[in-house]
Amino acid sequence: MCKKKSLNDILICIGIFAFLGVFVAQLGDISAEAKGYPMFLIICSALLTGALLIKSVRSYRCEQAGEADPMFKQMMLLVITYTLLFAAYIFLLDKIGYIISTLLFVVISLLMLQVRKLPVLVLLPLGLTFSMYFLFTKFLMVTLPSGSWLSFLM
Amino acid sequence: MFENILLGLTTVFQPFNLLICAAGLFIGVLFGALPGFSATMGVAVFIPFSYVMEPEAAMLLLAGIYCGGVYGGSIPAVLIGIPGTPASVPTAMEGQALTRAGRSGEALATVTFSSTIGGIVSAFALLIGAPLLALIAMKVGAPEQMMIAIFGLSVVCTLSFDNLLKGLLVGFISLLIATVGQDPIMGFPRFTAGFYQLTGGVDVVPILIGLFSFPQVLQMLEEHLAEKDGDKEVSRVSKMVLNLREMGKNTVNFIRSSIIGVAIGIIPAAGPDIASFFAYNEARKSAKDPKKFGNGALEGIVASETANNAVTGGSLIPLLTLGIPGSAPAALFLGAMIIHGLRPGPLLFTQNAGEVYTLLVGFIVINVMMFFVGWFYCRVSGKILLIPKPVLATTIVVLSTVGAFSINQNMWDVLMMFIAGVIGYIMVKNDFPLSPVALALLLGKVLEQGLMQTMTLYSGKAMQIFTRPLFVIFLLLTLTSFLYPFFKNAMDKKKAAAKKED
Repeated sequence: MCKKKSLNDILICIGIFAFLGVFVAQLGDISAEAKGYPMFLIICSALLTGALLIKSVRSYRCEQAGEADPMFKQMMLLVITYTLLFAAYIFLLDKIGYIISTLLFVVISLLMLQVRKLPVLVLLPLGLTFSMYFLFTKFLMVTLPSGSWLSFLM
Repeated sequence: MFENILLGLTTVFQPFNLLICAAGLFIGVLFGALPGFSATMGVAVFIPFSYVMEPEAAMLLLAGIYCGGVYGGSIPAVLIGIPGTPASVPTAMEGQALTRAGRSGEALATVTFSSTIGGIVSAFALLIGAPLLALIAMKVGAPEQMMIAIFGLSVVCTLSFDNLLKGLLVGFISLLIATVGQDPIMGFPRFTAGFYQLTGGVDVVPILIGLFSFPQVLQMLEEHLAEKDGDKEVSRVSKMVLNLREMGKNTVNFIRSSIIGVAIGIIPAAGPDIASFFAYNEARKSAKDPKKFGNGALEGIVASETANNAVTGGSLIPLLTLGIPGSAPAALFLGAMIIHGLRPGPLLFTQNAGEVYTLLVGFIVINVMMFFVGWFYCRVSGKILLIPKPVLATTIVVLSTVGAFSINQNMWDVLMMFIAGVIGYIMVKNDFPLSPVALALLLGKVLEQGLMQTMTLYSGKAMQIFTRPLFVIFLLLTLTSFLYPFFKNAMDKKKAAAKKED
C-alpha cells in the first residue's frame, strides 16, 4: 500500500466516524424496540472502522511515499469539474426544467471533453434531449421536471 | 395434463401469439437495459395495453416483458459495466473485465445462452413441478427469510475475501443505511434527520444507478484523457461467439445455478438479484481457479445469468398455485390475471386450464425465443463500444438522471443517485468493494423484518426454532458459506508450504 492510499483510508475512516455520529445523535429519538438492531450495526461499523483506521495509520508510518502519477492532477481536475457540471445539471433540472437543462448539459459536457465536430455538437444534444423527452412523457407517462423558475410560463 | 399442454401449444403457436411473445421480449429487453427501468416497471406500464387483448395474448405479452426485462439488464452490464438491473451486478463484474480484454462478444453470447438455459429450466419447473414446489413455498416463514438474508450476506465474505475488512465495513454501513425509514414492526420513523423523503426508507434503485454508473463515467473520462496522451486502448468490440466447449465445462454450474434460481424464485421477498449473487458465490467457491473471478470469469457470468433468469418461472409458482404473489412482477401479474377474469389459486389449473397452460407453455417458448431476440440485441448494442467516450459518458449521465427521476418522479431520487455516484467513485479509487452495498441494501429490510418477527415468535422458546427443517438447512448453508473462505485460505497456505518444503 502506498503512503497516499493509507492517508486516503485514514480520511475515509474519519468521514465514516462522522457519518456514524449522525446516526448515534438520532438514537435518542427512537423507541427502545426500534433501536436495538441499528445500534448493533453502529457498534459493528465503529469497530470495523477503528480496525481499518489503526491498520491505515500503521501502514502510513511504515511506508515510503510513492512516485506521483504525472497525469494525476489533470485527471483530478477533470473529475472534479465534471462532478460539478453534473451537480449543476441536477440543480438546474429542477429550476429550468428538463429540456433546457439537458440541452445545456450535453453541449457543455461535449465541449468540456473536447468534442469539436459541429454535427455532433448539434445533433447529439437535440436528438438525445428530445428522444428521451418523447420516450418518457408520451410513451411511459413520466412527467419530466418543467422547472420551478419557469412556472410563470405554464 | 398432456391434453392441456397440447391445448397450450396450439394457442401459443398461433402466429399472432408468437408475435406477441416476440414483441414482449423486445420491449422487456429494452426496459431491462435502461438504467432505472426494470422488468417490474415494464410489466406495470404494459398492463393497460393488455386490457384490449384476449387473456392468453395478454399473459404472453406480460411474460415476454418480464423475461426480457430480467435478461436485458446484462447487456449494459457487459458493455459499459453499468448493470441495467441489480440482478446484473455480478455479471457486470465479470463482463466488464472481458470487454476490456476485447472479449465482449464472447461475454454477451454467454449471457444470452445462460439466460436462455435458466429461463427454460424455470419454465419447465413451472409447468411440471408447480404444485409440489408450492408446498415448499408454504413452509417458508420469518425464520427462514432471516436465514436466507444472512446466507445472502455471507456472500460479502467471499466477494471481498482479499479485502475482507473493507468489504465487511461496507456491508455493515449499507445495512445501517437500510434501517433508515420506519422500523418494520412498529413503524417508528428512524434516522430521517428531519427529511420527510426518508420516512419511507432509502430507495435502492437510484442508489445503485449512481453507484454503478457515475464511477464508470468518470473512469471513461480518465481513459479518454490517457488516450489523448497517446496511451490508446485496443478495440474492445469482438464477434459474438459462443464458446460451446466452455459451456460444456459449466454443465454443473448451469444445473446448480438453475436450482438456486428456481428455489429463490418461489421464496417470497427474494428475487433475481439475490439469486444471481448466491449462484455467483457458489460458482466462485467451486471454481478450480477462484482468482479468475473479478477478472473476466465466464463461469461467473454463467452462474449469475442462469440463476437470475431461473427466478422468472419460480416466482410465478406461488402465485399460480396458491394465489400468493411472492415478488413485485408476480403481484402485477396477479392484477392482470384478475382483470382478465382469472383467479389464481388451486382451482386455476382446472377452471382456466386453457389460459394457464398457454402461459406455462408460452414461458418455454418465450425463453427459447429470448436466445434469438437477445442475440439480435447484443449484435446491435455491441456497437456501443464504437461510440466515442465523451459522447457515451454524456449519454449515460442523462440516461441515469432521467432513469433515477422516473422511479418516483421526484428530484430527491436524483440527488440520492448523485451522492451515491460520488461516494461510489471514492470507493472505487480506494479499493472499497461496491457489490456489498447492493447486497446489503437489498437484503437489509428482509433481514431486520425476519429477525424481529422470529424474536417475537420464539421469545422464551428459542430451541424450538431448530424443529423447522428449512431453517436448519439454511443455517448449515450459512455457516458453510461464512467459514468456507477461511478454510480454503488455510488449505491453500498449507499446500503452498508443502510445495515449498518439496
